[in-house]
Amino acid sequence: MTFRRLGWTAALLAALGFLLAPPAWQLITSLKPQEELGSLPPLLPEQPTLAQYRSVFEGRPFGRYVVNSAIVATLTMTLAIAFGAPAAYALARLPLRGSGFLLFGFLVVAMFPPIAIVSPLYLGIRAVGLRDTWWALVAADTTFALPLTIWILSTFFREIPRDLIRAARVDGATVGQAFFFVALPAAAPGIAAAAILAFVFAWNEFLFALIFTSSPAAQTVPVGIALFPGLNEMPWGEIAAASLMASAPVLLLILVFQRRIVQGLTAGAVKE
Amino acid sequence: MARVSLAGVEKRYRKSLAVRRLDLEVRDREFLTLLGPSGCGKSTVLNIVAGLETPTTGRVFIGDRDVTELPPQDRDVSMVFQSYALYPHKSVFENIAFSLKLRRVATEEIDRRVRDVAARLGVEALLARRPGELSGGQRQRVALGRALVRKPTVFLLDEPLSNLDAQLRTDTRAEIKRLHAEFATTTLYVTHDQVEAMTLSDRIAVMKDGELQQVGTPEEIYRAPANRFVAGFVGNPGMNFVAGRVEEGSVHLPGMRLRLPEIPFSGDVLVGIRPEDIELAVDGPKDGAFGEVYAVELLGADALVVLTWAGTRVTARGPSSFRAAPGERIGIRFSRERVLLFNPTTGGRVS
Repeated sequence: MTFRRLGWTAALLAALGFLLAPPAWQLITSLKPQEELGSLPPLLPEQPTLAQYRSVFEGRPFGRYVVNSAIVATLTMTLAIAFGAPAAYALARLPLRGSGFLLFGFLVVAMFPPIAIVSPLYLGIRAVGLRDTWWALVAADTTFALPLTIWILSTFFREIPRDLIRAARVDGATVGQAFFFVALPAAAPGIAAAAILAFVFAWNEFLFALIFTSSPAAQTVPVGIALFPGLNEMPWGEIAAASLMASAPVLLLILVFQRRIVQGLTAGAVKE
Repeated sequence: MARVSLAGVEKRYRKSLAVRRLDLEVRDREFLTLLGPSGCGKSTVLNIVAGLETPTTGRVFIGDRDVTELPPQDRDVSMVFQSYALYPHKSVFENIAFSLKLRRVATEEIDRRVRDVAARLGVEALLARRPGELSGGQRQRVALGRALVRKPTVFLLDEPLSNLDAQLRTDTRAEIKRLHAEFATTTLYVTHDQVEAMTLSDRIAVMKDGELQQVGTPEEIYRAPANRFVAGFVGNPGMNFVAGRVEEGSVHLPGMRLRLPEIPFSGDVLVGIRPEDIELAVDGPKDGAFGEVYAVELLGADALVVLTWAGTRVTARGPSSFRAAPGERIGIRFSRERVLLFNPTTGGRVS
């Protein structure tokens, strides 16, 4: 019994170490002064410094990258939810022929390797004159975030008791009102989860951002960080600092919405 | 005039027939119950009246208006669901107020009406709570309030008591009856519970396998069931059925001959008799029928006496003072005017 427990604890610790070691190393690296970067020991910096964080912003428009990322991710998230929620509801709850086939289709689209379509997408974006704009990234990101959103939300909508929607209809709601006033709030945890996933996807997206942008006008944080290395030097400290800063909003978002995601809002709607 | 009529309504799903050619009228202000076992199509009928399902053929009228093609929100009906279906993210107040809000009723008016209904149902203290914080009985009341606040033309209830425990069910049953007397709204009530049907209804419509069996007052349903199914479904314990034979105007049963007036036929029949219509005679006449005591179940007010008689099990209702040991022979006599005869093959009542 205790052996088994010990085994479990060891396994969990190992898994935790495996997951946490890279970010921990990033953190340590980002706090080391330039001179200590290449040496080990010391493992921990003797005099932790925020110099690397400061220098991230020096000589390059890092703030601009963050703004670009935030705008692209927010727009992608908004579009994915605005179109994904009604679509998912229709697929999950309205009498629709071939909804299973459609859902499968969306999954296929979401699973498509981006690299396979990046060239035709680039040509298309250039043709409509959106190269090096936020909209190029929003359009490309949404094509991947939207199917994912629809897929996630349709499972959430399917968990809403049918009687709830029927009650709304009898109460006088149209199909649209029943969706807005009853289904949507009841699926709020799902909406939050899907929104975060869409946001994180767009925030982290690298390939499209690299190909479709060419200037700080639209370059996002991942592309910006990729541009850090100079000809002769690899600024590990700055890269670590920038990566951590880039992860912060995502982490914050998840922490804030975690309760909302986990909390079963439908509790008490119907007798189990 | 809030009459509800169904004319030739039929509902077919891909493979099965849920409702077969139904003609039914709920009169103005009437309380009509659709009674039947699960899967008999009674809920489908309710959904068709609500507009949540469309009939395959046939028309639905509310008053003089043909509502067959109307969506639920335009029918001015309200419904209480078996699952209550309260909006989980809305407070009790918002749950009750929702239908009024959708109709753009003025805020003060909404406030007044919600509080009025809540007071009548004794939930005014709960208005700020969410459904998740309520007990089953409280949720039931809120669901009733949500349906009543609008003063609908037709009130639909789908097994509203089946999720409550026994005591609460009896209380709420009485409350529904009182509410109906008070609001006088045309009501269509669906249940599989014959006690609810008997106690609440002005009239009962019994359904089986999607087919209407009989429509009548509770007394008619109980005393003059149209067929064997209705006779057996209503009443607890159920009606006894014994195979017999009609010859020369008399019904012949094992050890018993009943002379009934006006039996225009002869042949095999199924004799139906309710437990309370069987007389027990411990020292009965020695020429009558005898049953052997199988078990005596004391209920309090009276006792159920289960007898084996000519190979069939028969239940009689006796006084609570009745005592008999298993195996004892008891004389039985039927109240002649209460005996019902059924066709043994079709199940239809023949007298």
